[in-house]
Amino acid sequence: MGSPARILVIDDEEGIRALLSRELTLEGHEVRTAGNGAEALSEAHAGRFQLALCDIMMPDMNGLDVLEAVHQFQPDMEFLMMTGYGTVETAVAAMKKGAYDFVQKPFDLEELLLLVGKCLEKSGLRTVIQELKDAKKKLEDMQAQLIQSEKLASIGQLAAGVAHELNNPMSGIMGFTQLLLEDQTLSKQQRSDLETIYAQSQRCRTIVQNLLQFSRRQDPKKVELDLGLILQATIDLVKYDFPSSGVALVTRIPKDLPHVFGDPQQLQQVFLNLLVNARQAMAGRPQSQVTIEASLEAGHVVVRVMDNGPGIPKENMGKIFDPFFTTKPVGQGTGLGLSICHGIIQQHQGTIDVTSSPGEGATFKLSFPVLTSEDGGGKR
Amino acid sequence: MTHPGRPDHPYVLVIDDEPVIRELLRRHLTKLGYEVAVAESGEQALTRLSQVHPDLVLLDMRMPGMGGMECLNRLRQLYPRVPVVILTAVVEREAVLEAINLGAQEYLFKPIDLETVTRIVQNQLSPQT
Repeated sequence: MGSPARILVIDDEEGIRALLSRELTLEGHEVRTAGNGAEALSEAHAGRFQLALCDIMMPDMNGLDVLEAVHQFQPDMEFLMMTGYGTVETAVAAMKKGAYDFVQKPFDLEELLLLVGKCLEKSGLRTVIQELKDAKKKLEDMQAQLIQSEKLASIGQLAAGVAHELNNPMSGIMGFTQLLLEDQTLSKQQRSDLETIYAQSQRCRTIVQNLLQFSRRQDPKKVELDLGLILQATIDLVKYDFPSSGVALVTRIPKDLPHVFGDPQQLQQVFLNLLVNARQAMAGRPQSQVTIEASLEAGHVVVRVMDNGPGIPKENMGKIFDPFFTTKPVGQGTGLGLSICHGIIQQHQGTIDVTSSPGEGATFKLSFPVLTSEDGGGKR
Repeated sequence: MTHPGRPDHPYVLVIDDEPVIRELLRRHLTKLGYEVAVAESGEQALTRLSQVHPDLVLLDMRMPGMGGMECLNRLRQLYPRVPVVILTAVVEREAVLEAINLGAQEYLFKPIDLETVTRIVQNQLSPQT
C-alpha cells in the first residue's frame, strides 16, 4: 500500500480521530491528530505532512480555514476533506481551494483508505516532479558554465596563436625604432615621431603579453589555504589606492574561515582584479563605497565584492565574462580581466556570478567549496 | 673573456628562425661593439659552432626543426662553458625553468626590448663574471 507518509488527522470528534489514527497507523503511516484548527496549525508548523484528513464542520475554525492557513506555509500538503450530509457545497468549495477530494460521513473505511492511497501517490509524483525540475535547473546552470568555459578555451587558443605570431613582428617594430632613435642626427620632429611609434608599440607589447597571460590556462598550483589571509593580503595591496580615488573600502573578513584548496597567486589575481574594477567603476562618484566580505554558506566560503556604483546595464550582464568585452575607455582595459577570473575560479571548482541593477551597484559573488577531510590527505 | 688568436671583441651567436630578429640583434649587438654571427636553426647553429667560438649564445626557444630546448641540450653537452641566454614568450615560465635547469644562464622575453638585451648581454660578458 504505497510508501509510508506523515498524515495529520483533524477532527473535533475524538472517536473519529482514534479510529483513523489506528487504521492509518496499521497501514504503516505516521499519524498525528488535532482536535481543532489551532492544534492543526501548530502540528503543521512543527513538521511536514504529506496529507491531512480534515473535518469541515468544526467549532472555532472550520476545515476550509484550516486548509487555507496551512497552505500559506505548507503548500504541498494535500487535504482530504470529511463532511456530513447536506454540506456537499462546502466540500466543493474546499476542493476549489485546493483540497484533493472529499468523503461524506459516515464514511466507508475501505473507500477512505483507497482515497488516501491515491492522494499520496499524487503527492509523491509531485515531489518527483519538483526534484526533476530542480535537477533540470542545475543542469542548465552547469551547461551555461560549460558553454562559457568552452568559449573561453577556444578564444584562448586563438589568442595564444595570434599573440605568439605577433611576438616577433612586435620585436622588430620596437627594436628597429630603438635603433633609429640612437641616431644623433634626427630632427626634433623625426625624433618625436619615432618616440610615438615606440610608445605605441610598447602598448601593443602589453596587449600581446596580456593575451598570452589570458590564454595560458596554467594549471593552478593548489595548496590548502585560508581565503581570509589571501583577501587580507590583496586588500593590503590596494588599500591606499581607494582613499586617493575618493572611494571608501569596507572589509568584513572573519578570522577563522574554514580552509579551501587553491592557488594563492591565482586567487589573489582574481580578488585584485575585482577590487580594481570596482574602484575604477566608483571613482569620481559621490559617497562611493566598495565592500569586500567573506562568509561561510552551506559548505562554501563565499566572497562578495560589492559596490554602490552605476551598476551594470542589463544588456551587458551576459557579456561581462567574455574576453575582450570592456566598457573602459580605449587603451585602459584589455577586456580580459574578468574572463581570466572566470577561468581561474572554474579551475578551483568554484563559481563566480554577478548581480546588478542599474543605479544600485554591482555584486560579484564567488563561492569556493570548503576543504573536507577527504580532500586534505590524498591528492594535492 | 678574451681568447688568444681571436679578435678582441666578444663573439655572440644569435640563433633565431625569424630574419627580423636576427637582423635586429645583429645590428644592435654590433653597435655595442660585439662580433655577431647568426644561425636560423638549431641544426645550422651546431654546424657553425665548430667554426666560430662564441662567448655567448642567444637562443630562440620556438623554432621549427630541432627546437630551442633540444638545441640548448646539445649546446650544453658540446660547449658547457659557453653561456646561453634564451628568448621566449613571457608566459612560458615552465620552459624558462626547464631551460635554466638545463644550464641556460638568462632569459629574454619576447617581444624583446633592446635595453634589456643590452643589460643582459653586458652582464653575461662583463669581465667580473
